[in-house]
Amino acid sequence: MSTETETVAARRANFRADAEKWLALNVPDEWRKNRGALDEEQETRIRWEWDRQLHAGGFAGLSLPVEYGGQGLGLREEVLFGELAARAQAPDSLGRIGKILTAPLLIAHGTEQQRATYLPAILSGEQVWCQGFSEPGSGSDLASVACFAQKVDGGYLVRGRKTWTSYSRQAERCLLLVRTDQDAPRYKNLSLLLLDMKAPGVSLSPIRQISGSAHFSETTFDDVFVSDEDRVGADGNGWAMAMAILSSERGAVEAVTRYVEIRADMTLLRDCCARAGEAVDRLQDLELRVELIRWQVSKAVAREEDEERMLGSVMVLKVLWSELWQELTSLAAKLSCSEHRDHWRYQYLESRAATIYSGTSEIQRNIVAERVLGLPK
Amino acid sequence: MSVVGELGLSEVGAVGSDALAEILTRTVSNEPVAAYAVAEPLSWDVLQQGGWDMLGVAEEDGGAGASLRDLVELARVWGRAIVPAPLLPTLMAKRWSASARECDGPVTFSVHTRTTGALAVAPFADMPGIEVLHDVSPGGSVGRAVVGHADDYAPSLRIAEVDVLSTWSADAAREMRVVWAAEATGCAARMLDDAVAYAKDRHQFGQPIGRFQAIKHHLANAHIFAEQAETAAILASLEPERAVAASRFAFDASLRVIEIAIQVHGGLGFTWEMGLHMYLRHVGALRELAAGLPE
Ligand SMILES: Cc1cc2nc3c(=O)[nH]c(=O)nc-3n(C[C@H](O)[C@H](O)[C@H](O)COP(=O)(O)OP(=O)(O)OC[C@H]3O[C@@H](n4cnc5c(N)ncnc54)[C@H](O)[C@@H]3O)c2cc1C
Repeated sequence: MSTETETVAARRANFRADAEKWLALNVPDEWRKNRGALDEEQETRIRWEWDRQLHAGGFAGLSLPVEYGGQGLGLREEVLFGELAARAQAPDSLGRIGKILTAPLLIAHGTEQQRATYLPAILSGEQVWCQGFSEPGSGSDLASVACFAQKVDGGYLVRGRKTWTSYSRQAERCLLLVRTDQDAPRYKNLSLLLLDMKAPGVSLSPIRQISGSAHFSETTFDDVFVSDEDRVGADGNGWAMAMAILSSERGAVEAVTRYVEIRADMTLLRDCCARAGEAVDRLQDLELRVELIRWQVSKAVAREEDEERMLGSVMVLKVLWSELWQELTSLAAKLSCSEHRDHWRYQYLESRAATIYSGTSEIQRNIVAERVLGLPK
Repeated sequence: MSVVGELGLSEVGAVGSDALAEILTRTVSNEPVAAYAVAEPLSWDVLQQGGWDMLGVAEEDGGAGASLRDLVELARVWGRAIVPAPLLPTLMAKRWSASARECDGPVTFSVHTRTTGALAVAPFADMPGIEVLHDVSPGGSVGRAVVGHADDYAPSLRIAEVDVLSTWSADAAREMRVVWAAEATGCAARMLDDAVAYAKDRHQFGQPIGRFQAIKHHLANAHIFAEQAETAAILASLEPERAVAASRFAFDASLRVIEIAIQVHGGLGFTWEMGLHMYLRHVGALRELAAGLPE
């Protein structure tokens, strides 16, 4: 055994104990105790700092290869860490798009140069990413994107508009799905670019959300240059890249991070209800279903080798966590819990988006029906 | 159009609600709700000069004599537009109290709140010149209240903390609950219409999203909820002993309709400017107000 695999094996063996110990020492009190009362800026700051802490502690990129700054462990450890982080009431990573979407994409489909350039900065928490997929006219029908990247010497000039771009204000880079061919047929006319959000020609106009905050924006590209080195996969192969990204976005690692958030809300809800002696039956049901998410993720990961069974287990995750969170916040908004009223009002509004982003519940059910169950299209 | 005689709807209720609908349409139909909910699109003077505040007052007391059933219809019309004006509280205050009737300006009252530290909250409490009815019953008197923290959750209701907790006769509390529930069902009816219109207009995959069965079923469900909510509000006005349960049902079903409307609008439904959330907030806040009434 090489020393590297030995270290990894040793880390595996002690992983739970190490992670528990580290979390106990590192989860910021400010988050654990006041989460319901933090404003947007405080929240962003804590989440950003948390990314740096994760990296310093050796818990960033658990399932990514060691050579790119990951920990060389597996999905099991990702999931286990998510569970422990939830129990310790840890914050959610601000660099989630980079870590959950970009990193696996580059490992599977990126060039050596792209991995070396971006992965370390993503894992250290330095570089936040955003995802430029949706457009005003292309939401569920993602393949119809119109934002155009014209081929020029050494790269592309991107012109067009994306919308609902989350994290665009903090992001240095964007996973951008563009059309690169006006004549090629659907699914063969797209490419995936890694665009520099600080480049000339990128402009943002924040869009206010129903909760009052502006976590996303409309992003306009006015002849923004992207070099050929920053294209992932071949020219015209963007749809396959987008599908790879979407499967991460709707997959197990993403679901675990959502579990962390939902678990925290569940714990808060229980406290609220215990004080008022309310909704005891509903709580037991919700509590069980929150834990079922965790087990659903573990089950999906355990079936990693058996694609067909894995698909059936993983494809239900997005619908499960998003709809459960909505149910939980709907109940909370009705209770007489005065101390956390503002938190519940906010979460109730925020949770409305969960069945819309990362593929709406309707689209997810279509996928379950067609891809998992094989029903006719 | 409201139909005279329908489940006890009188001429006052039918004609009154149609006329109110017309005023509201004229006032705000070209403006986005996200803008007018935080402004003052309809002045009190217009409502008062039209005699709208006296609609629910008995004829012998100089009013139009609308029944609770009639007020359900009126509140539903109001709920469609959620114009930020204190018509419904004033109308109910005047229905119940002679001293409220003597006020030219708007009148409100307060309910119990679950906000820690505050005694009570009242809709539109921070409006200049508004009086507060301390006792919502025939002998009740009006006065001023010290207005504290304004709650900006539902701008269209302008709820604020006050230092007076109104007392309520059992009948007044029941009627107010029913009217608020009816208002919520008006919100739901409007959101259903908007969502249906959007589903016909928005195209994805080369077709209107309303052609997808998932969307059809959502909207059919929303229609079922909205119908049931309306029935519940009417029932609540006609069967006093079921008013609490039916009102609660109406609030919850109305919220479901609005949640579905947001879902059907996709990302757009989640934006402040689109304004669907103003209805979600309005109904949520009405439900909280109703929960603060004595049962
Ligand atoms: C909070 C938030 C954050 C977001 N962040 C990002 C981001 O960072 N980057 C990014 O690219 N995008 C982002 N999005 C956009 C998101 O991916 C889209 O909103 C989503 O894909 C839906 O697209 P749409 O809004 O155009 O709705 P539409 O596609 O127009 O859908 C409207 C309704 O029709 C339904 N529908 C559409 N097609 C079908 C069908 N075939 N069958 C059944 N029902 C159908 C939908 O389910 C929905 O209910 C975000 C959205 C939100 C709300």
